[in-house]
Amino acid sequence: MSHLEVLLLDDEPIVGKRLKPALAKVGCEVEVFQDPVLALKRIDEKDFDVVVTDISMAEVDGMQVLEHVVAKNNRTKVIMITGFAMMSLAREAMEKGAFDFIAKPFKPDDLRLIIARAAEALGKPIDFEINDNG
Amino acid sequence: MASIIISSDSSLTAARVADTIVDKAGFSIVNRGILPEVAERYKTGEDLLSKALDSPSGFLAMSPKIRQRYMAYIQAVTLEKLLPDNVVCFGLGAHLYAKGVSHFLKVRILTQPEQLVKELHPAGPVPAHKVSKMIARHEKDRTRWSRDVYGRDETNANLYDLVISLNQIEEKEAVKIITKTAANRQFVPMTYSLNCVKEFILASQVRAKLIERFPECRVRADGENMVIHIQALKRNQKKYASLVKEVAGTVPGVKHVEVHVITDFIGQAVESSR
Repeated sequence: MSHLEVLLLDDEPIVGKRLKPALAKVGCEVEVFQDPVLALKRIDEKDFDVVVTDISMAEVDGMQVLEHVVAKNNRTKVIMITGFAMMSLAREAMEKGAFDFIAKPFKPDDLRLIIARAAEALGKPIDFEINDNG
Repeated sequence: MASIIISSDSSLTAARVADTIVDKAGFSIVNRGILPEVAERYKTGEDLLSKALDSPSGFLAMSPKIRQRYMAYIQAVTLEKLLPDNVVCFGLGAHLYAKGVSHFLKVRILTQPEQLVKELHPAGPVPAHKVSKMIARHEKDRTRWSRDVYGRDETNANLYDLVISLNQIEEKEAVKIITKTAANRQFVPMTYSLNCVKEFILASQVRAKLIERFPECRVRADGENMVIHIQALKRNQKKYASLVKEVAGTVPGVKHVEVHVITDFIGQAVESSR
């Protein structure tokens, strides 16, 4: 089984606390950040397979993180998560190169499914059964 | 890829454009071919469903409430057909109820007046002085129809991502513009937009089950949870709330139902004046 290098960025500590073990279960090596500035610094240092980022954050928002990641390495799959989902935001994220966009709250399995799709797209499949036709 | 929802002042133009998109870009089609399925599922007549879609509103026409009921049945099945992507849909009013889904590309096509007149009056040529009157009346009827059923004016350009006038652009060019736009990244289906469609489907299925008994009901899905608003007289509120819960709970996929009962003040006033 391949393992994926994942950076998870959300200014709410509970999100990282909850999702890190959930993603570790499917073979992801997860680095969690609450501060987007520190996350961007880390992205500059290391090429991640997947970046999962919240959108609404102080200082630097998720769209800026997305643009930064795409400019640095467009192989990295960026997954946007937000509690304020709406059509215009979703379209903007996809246009800027997001791999997927999901509204909070979601179940850990929902994110694992997206990560599994990202892993497939990267040619590094992980051990998670994709049985959702969406 | 995106799904495309076409609305037009001319049903023949919408059909032609949709067929060309299917031929050229490999989309599948959702059109009035689904009406027999709707009729069977909701035990109603296909002719009544067609009438709800086509007949103009007016004093002697189908009442808005009855029309809303048939449209609720059509809506529930149409949205199911829109769940897979790469679909082109027309003729089912989807531009009015498939709202806020980022991978639905909504297109309004304005046909040439002479083409529209031919369609509205297939029997033969129409005197020049009557043409604009005929078109204006047709537009007024459609506007009234969309307002009666969905409270929105379907001729409002704000409802659409793309408005194309065939007065200036050839039909084959219009098809190219539509398919090119549909291929843009912002219309790519994503988890969020697919979940929106799933929630719309569930809410529509629940509403279709309730609408005959509760024509004013409003239904919203939040995942597998349903939030339902109905109107009732004070003395019936408890009874109807539990009835709504029971009926909504029979729809596959519904886990939890929250019912809000608004007092029917008009009914209440009528009752207390007796």
